[in-house]
Amino acid sequence: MNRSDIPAKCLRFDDVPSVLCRAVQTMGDDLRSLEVLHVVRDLFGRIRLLARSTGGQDPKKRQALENLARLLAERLGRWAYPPDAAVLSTEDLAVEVRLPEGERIFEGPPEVRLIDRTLTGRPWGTVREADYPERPATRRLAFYSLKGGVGRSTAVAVAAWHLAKKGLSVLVLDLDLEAPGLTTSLLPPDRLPEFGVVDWFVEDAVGQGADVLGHMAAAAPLATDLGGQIWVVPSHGRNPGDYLAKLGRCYLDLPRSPGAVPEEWTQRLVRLVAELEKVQEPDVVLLDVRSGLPDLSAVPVTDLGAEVLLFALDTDQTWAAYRLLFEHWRRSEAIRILRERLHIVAAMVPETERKQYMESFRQRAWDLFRDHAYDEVPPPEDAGGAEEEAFSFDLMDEGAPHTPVPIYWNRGLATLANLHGLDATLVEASFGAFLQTIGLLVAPGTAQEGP
Amino acid sequence: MSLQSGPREENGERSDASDDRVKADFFDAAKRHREDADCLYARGRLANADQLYGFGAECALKAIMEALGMPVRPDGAPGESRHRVHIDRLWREFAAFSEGRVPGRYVSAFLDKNPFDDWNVCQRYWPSQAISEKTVECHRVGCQQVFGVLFEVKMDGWCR
Repeated sequence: MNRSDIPAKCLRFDDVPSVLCRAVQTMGDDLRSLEVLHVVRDLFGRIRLLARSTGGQDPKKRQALENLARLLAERLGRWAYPPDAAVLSTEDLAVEVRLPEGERIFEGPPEVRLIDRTLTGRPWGTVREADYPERPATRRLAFYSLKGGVGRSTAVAVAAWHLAKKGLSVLVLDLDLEAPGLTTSLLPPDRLPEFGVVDWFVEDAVGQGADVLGHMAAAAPLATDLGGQIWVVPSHGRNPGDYLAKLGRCYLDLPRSPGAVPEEWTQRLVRLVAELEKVQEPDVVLLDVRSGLPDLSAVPVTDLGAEVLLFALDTDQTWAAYRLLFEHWRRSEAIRILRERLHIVAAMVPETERKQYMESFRQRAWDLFRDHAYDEVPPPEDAGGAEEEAFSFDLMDEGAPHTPVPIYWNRGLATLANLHGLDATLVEASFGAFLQTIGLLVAPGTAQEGP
Repeated sequence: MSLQSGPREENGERSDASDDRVKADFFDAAKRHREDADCLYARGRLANADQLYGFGAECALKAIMEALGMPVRPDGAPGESRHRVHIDRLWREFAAFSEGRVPGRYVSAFLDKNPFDDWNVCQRYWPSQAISEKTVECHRVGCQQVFGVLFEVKMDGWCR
């Protein structure tokens, strides 16, 4: 049985889009007057049709929507609204709301776009590229892992050390607010600055963000005599105070002036990074991103124009989890922008059978990117010049987003309590290839030397 | 009774109770008040437009609160007396009402300064000149703001 033929009473959440699209097809010419049909899926997963304010609703269009609403009430079961409440009109309430274009779920005609109303998750599917018509002036690198415990924070610290050795000024931000701790490997507790990221959020809410901005970064002793500098912005300051009380107020959207559209907290975080860059004037910003799928992790990945290092282990769980994320990026079309700045890192490569491990890792990374991120390349006879433009790479290509950048597990480094007095030979053995990639991302086109 | 206070309204007790035979419908009432306010505003009838923008915002906010689970009496009025008030007081009540109950995105708009601080249900007894154009504009925008949140609440599926 086709999924869209399932009786309405048995429909599950994931069946709804295909049944909806089938209903639109069934309506045929009746809906041709609509170029685009916007559909809202509410917090409960129920479907409503959106009649956007067009300065006088066309009665024909309105009638078409009402006919479709009746059909959906028959076919969508619990996922439908009663026909008399199924059309939502901005004009009806005389409001002007900024709505996203939504995800295209049917090519049409009419094209169907789904606007999803969720409690969380918005930032993962949208890329605020508009804010970054070009790459930001300061290079930003986001260190992200979908599953935790892969040595991500250590890699941040080692990368900072490496870049400082090259004479660069590095700003390291601990954005793992819900599991703070990056700073322990870079800053002894008595060297922490007065304030951290959570302090800025609560102070900014009452218009005092600028007061704390200059007291949020401390110099890491690790960088002494290296030539460059490492500035660390921790999640909390020297005296953490009531950390949870502050954390519980970070995710607050706030109007910046009376009556203004509230600034989303995700954009407040983007603003914080930009303002810290103005104060510290670093050459490079390294962002330690919380693992998993909270919205907090999405911001540095999608909204900061950063190069994104995706840390992974070659395990079924890791790849299954990344598939969920990539599938979402593919659906929302965010992948078309993000794929140019993704780099996959093979973290904690075991000491034994490295070659086989890396081969398996590369294959699975390629499977992931090929299925969700790369363009399909038509056969040569149909290509007609499209091949040059396609964003696509072969399994063994070097420098492709799926090409794994290895970090080799090393007992000596894994048991290091802090990074003071790092052994350069040890670092080279473990992080050599990784640091070379970091160097290239920070200064594209320059030849890199070892650490 | 002073000129500025209407019968039984100093404490807002009858601010939204309907006639016992008719149940309050905040959504419908909000739309009506705002549409009529817009008509008066367009004709320069500012004093009464202003009064209706206040009622429109109040009813829209009560529609939001009802959709989000505010208990109501059989006549449709809010169950708790602190919610049976006009917009000059209800605006601030919303943050307390919503704490831990509703998504933060509805609350943001109400953390701002209350644009209806200077609105008074008794202004219908005031002379026309007491209501300035600037005041009405502020209340018109404030009312629009509440309707924006109401639309979000509808889109999220809390009400029809």
